Amino acid sequence: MQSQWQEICELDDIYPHSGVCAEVNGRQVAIFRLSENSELRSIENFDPIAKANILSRGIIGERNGKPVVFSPLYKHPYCLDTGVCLEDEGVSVPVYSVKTLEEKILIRVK
Amino acid sequence: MKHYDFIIVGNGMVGNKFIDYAIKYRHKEEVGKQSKALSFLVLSEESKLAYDRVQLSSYFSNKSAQDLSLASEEEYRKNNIDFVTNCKVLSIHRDDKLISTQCGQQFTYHKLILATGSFPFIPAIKGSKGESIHVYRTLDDLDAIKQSACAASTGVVIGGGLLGLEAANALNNLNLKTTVVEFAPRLMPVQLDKNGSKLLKQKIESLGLSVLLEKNTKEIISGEQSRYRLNFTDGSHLETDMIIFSAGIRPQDKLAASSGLATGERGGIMIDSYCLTSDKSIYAIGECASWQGSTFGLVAPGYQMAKVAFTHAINTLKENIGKTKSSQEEPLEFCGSDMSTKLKLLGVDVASIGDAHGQTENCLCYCFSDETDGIYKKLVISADAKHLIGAVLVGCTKDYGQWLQLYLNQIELPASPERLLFPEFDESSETNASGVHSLPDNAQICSCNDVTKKQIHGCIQSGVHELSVIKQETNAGTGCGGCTQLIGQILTCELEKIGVAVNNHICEHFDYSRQELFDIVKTTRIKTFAQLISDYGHGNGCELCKPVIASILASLWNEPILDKPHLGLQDTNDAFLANMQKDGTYSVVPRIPGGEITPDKLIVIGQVAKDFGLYTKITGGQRIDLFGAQLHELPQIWKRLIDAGFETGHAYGKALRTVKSCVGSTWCRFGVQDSTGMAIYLEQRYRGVRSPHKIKMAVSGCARECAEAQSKDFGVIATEKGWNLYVGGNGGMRPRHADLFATDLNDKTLIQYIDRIMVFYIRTAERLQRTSVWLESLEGGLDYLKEVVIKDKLQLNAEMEDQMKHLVNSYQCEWKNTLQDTKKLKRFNHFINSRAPDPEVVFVDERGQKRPADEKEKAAIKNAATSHLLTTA
Ligand code: SRM
Ligand SMILES: Cc1cc2nc3c(=O)[nH]c(=O)nc-3n(C[C@H](O)[C@H](O)[C@H](O)COP(=O)(O)OP(=O)(O)OC[C@H]3O[C@@H](n4cnc5c(N)ncnc54)[C@H](O)[C@@H]3O)c2cc1C
Ligand code: SF4
Ligand code: FES
Repeated sequence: MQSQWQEICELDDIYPHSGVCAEVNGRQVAIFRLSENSELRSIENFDPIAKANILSRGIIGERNGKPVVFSPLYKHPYCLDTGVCLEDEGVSVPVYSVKTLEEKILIRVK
Repeated sequence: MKHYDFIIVGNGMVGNKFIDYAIKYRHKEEVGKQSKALSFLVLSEESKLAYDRVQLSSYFSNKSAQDLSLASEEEYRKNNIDFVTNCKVLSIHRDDKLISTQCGQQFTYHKLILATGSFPFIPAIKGSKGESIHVYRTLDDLDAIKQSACAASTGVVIGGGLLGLEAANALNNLNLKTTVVEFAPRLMPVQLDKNGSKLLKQKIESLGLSVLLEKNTKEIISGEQSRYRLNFTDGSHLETDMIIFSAGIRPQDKLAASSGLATGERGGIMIDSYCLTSDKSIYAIGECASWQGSTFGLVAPGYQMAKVAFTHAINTLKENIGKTKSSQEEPLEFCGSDMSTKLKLLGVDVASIGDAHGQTENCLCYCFSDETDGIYKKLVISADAKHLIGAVLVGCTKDYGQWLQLYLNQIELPASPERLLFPEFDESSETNASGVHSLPDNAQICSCNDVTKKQIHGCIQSGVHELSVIKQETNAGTGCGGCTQLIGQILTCELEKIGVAVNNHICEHFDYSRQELFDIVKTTRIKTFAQLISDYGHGNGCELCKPVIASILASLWNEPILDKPHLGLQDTNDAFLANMQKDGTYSVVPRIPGGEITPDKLIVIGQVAKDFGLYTKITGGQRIDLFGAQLHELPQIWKRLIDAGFETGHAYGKALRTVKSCVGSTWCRFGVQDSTGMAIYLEQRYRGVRSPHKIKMAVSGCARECAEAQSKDFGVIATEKGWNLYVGGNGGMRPRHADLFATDLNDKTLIQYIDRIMVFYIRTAERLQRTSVWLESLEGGLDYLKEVVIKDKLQLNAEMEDQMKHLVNSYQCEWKNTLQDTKKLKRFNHFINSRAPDPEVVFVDERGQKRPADEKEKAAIKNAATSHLLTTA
C-alpha cells in the first residue's frame, strides 16, 4: 500500500517557480514546480542543517544547469534531483517521485 | 604571593597586542585540548588600559577616550587576563623571578614581558618645568593641554618633527596662535629632504601657523605680555602662554637597566631576534627595545615584536612540557623594520620611504616640484638605476603604496624610472609592471599587522570577494589603514584573473550588470521576469538574478510582489511577507511611522499578541516586533492589525524600514523643528519603495541628534532655518557616519533631494549595496552626487522625480492586497493538503513569554509526551 501514488493537490495550487509542503504518510514533503508547466520535483521538507521544516519555502535556483532549492534559513543549496547539499556533500535529504495526472499532483513516498 | 605564567609590564599599544595574541591562542588551544589555562597579569602605569596612541590627536577633534580604547576591562576579565592600572613596576628581582610595584604588591613570574614604551625627551633648558608646560604622549597629557589652552591665547611647540607638528595642529585647532620652533634648518628633519620640508613649511604657514627654524632655546623665563618668554641662543626671543615639548622620545629602559639587563648604546633594552633580553626569562617589545643598536618609534615594528615574542615564549613553554616540535607554532624572528611613513599633517599629505635624503653612495635622484598645487615628489634610485631606495612625497601621496612596494620588494624598475613621477601621463604597460600583480607573493602588504600578499590571495581564493571581509579575515588594513588601497587593488586584480570583475554580470543567466538591467527594463517597459529572461537572458534564472529583477520590477512598476508572475522571484522573507525565524516561524512587524503610536493602537498590538500567544519586543527601529507566528496564523494576525489601521512594516523587504524620530520641537525644550512630523511624513512617503538594499532614515529635532540620523542612509537634522540632509550613513557590520549633503533646506527642497537621491541610488547601485557602500564606490563620490542632484548635471531630475511620484502614488499595503485574494492566501498554510500546523514547532516559557525550544528541550518534551501516552494507555 505504502508505495502507491497518492493525490496531493491541484497543479494550479503551486505557483510556478515556487514550492509547497505536503503531509504524506506522516512525513513532511516539499514539492516544487519548476516552470509554468508541470515540471515538478520533490524532496523531504526538513533541513537537517537548520533543523526546521522549511525547505519548501526556499527560493529555487540553478547550479550547473540543475535545479536547487536554497534553504530559507542558512541558504544551503540542496540539489532537487539528488537531495544532496551542494555545500556539504555529507548531508542529503530523501528525494521522492512526483508527477501530474490530469492537472492533479501525485506523489509516491516509499 | 601570586604567581603568573606571564607578567606584562606596560599596557601600551604593543603590550596590548601581546595580550591579543594570548587571547587568540587560548581560544584556539582550549577548544581543542583543555590544557591547563595559562595565567596572565598586566601591570600598567597609566590609569586607562591600552588605547590608540597613533590616533591620539583625534582626541582633540572627534574621538573620545572610549573611541580610542583598544582594550576594555570587560574584555580582559572575560578572557581571564588579570590587570592592575595606576601601578608602576619599581623593580625586578631576577634571581627570584619576582617584581615589586609602587602599590607595594609583589608577584612572581615564569616569563616577564617588558613593554614599557618611550617617554618624551625634555632638553636640559633652564625653566623647562612649570605650569602650562607639557609633553604630548598620553591621554592625561592631552587633558592637561586642553586645560591650559583655556587660559591661553598663544602656544609654542618646541620641535618640528612628526609629533611636534601634530601637537602644533592640536593647538591651532584649540584656537591658539601657534608657533613651531625647530632647532634644525628644516621641518621633519628625519623624514624629509630640504625641498620637501620647504613645501611643507609653506603649506603650514598658509594655515596661519608660524614656523621658526634654526632656533635653539636657551632658557624659559616669565614673559611680559604672556606667561612665558623663550630666549634663543641667537639673541632673539618669543612670548607665549603655553609650551609643548616635542623634542624626541627616549626608550623607557630604566626599570630594565636598574635590574641589570643589558641596554643599547643609544638606550633601549637590548634584544635578540626572538625579542629576548640578556635574561632568557625576560622579553622586551615595542619602543623600549633595542635591536642591533636601533630602536623603533613606530607601532608596526612593535606589533611584529609582540608576535615574535609571544610565539617564542609559547614554543619554549611547550618544549618544557615535552610537546613535540610539530605541535608548536611556526617560529618567527624579528628582522628589523622599515621606517617608511605616510601621514596627514595639518591636512597636508606627507610620506617618506627608505633613504629619503639620498645618502646612499652614487644614488640618483629624480624630483618633481609643482609650487602652484603644492606637490613635491622625489625618487632616490640605486646607482644602476634598477631599484628604488628612497622617496619623498609632499602634498600628494597617491603613489606611496606603489612606491613602498617597489622599495620593500626591490622590484626592478622600468627603463625610465622618472616616469614613475607621472603615472597619470604614462599609458605604457611599464607602469603596470609596477602594479600589484608584479609584487612577489611574500610582499608584505600590511605592515601594521604583517600580512603578505600571499595571505590576501589565499583569502580571495577561498571565495571572499569583499574588501571589508578580507580585512576581517586577514586583519590587513585594520591598523593605520594605509594599505587599504593596495588591498583593494589586489582584490580587483585577482577578480579580473578569475573573471569576476571583468564582467559585472549579475549571474550566468544575464550578461548584464544590475544597472544595465535596470535601464533595459525601464526602456523596454518589460513587466515580467519571464519576458526579460526570454528576450535578454538565458536559462531559467537563479537565486541571484530572480530577487534582483524582482526588485527592479518593483522599483519601476510597483506591482504587488505576490502576484503570480513575481512570486517565484521573491526571496524567502518577501515570499511570505514576514521574516522567518530560526524555527521556521515568523515575526510580524506592523509599520509605526516615526515611532509614534496611539494608546489604542498599542492596545491592539498587545491584544493581538495575547490572542495569538506571540513574543513581543521593542525593536532597535522604534517599533514592535511580534515573534513566533506560524505560517497559517499570518493572515489572521494581519487581518486584525489591518482592521485596526496598521500597515505592513516591510521588515522583510529590501525597502524602506523605519524612519526614526525624536520628539522634537513639539515637546522637547531644545527642538527647533517638528522632527516627529517630518519623520512620519517621510515614512509614509517612501514606505514600500523597493531598493537594492534596505533603507533607513531618521529625523532629529536639533543638533543633539537623539534620533541618530547620522548613522542612517538618509539622515535629517533640524536647524534654526530648516533641515540639514545627510546621506550614506550605516550602522551594522561596518558603521559609517553619513556625509552632509546640503544644509538649511526647506521642506520642499528636502523632499526633492531625497526623492532624487533615492531614485539615483535605485538606478545605479549594485545588488545588496547599502547607500554607504554605494556612495563610496560612486565615481566622483559625494561631489558628483551633489552635481547630479543639486545641479542636475545629468538632466535626470525631472524624470527621477516623476518616477518617485509614480511609486508614491501606486503604493498599496502588501498585506492588505494579499488578504483580498483567496488564491494568494492558500499558500499561507504549513501543509497544502491539511490544516494542521507544523507539529515540530515547540515553544517553552522564558521571562513570562514564549521562545523556540532548543533541541534538548524538544527531546525532553517529546519524551514526556510519549511517557504520558504510555501511562494513560
Ligand atoms: C528586529 C531587529 C532587532 C531588534 O530586536 O531590535 C533586527 C532584526 C534583524 N536584523 Fe537588523 N534588526 C533591527 C534593527 C537593526 C539596526 C538598528 C536600526 O535600524 O536603527 C541595525 C543597524 C542599522 C543599519 O542597518 O545601518 C541593523 C542591522 C542589520 C544588519 C546589518 C546591515 C549592514 O549594513 O551592515 C543586518 C544584515 C543584513 O541586512 O544583511 C540585519 C538583519 C536583521 C535580520 C533581518 C536578520 C535575519 O535575516 O533574520 C533580523 C530579522 C528581523 C525580524 O525577524 O523581524 N540587521 N538592524 C531590529 C528591527 C528594527 C525594525 O523595527 O525594523
Ligand atoms: C601623538 C603620537 C602620534 C603617533 N603617530 C604614529 C603614527 O602615525 N604611526 C606610528 O607607527 N606610530 C605613531 N606613534 C608612535 C606609536 O604610538 C608608538 O610607537 C606605540 O604606541 C608604541 O607602543 P609601546 O607599547 O611600545 O609603548 P607605549 O604605547 O608608550 O606603552 C608603554 C606603556 O608602558 C607604561 N609603563 C612604562 N614603564 C612602566 C612601568 N615601570 N610599570 C608599568 N607601566 C609602565 C607606560 O605608562 C605606557 O602606558 C605616535 C605617537 C604619538 C604620541
Ligand atoms: S533632539 Fe534632541 S533633545 Fe531634542 S528635540 Fe531633538 S533632540 Fe531634542
Ligand atoms: S599597514 Fe597599517 S593597517 Fe595595514
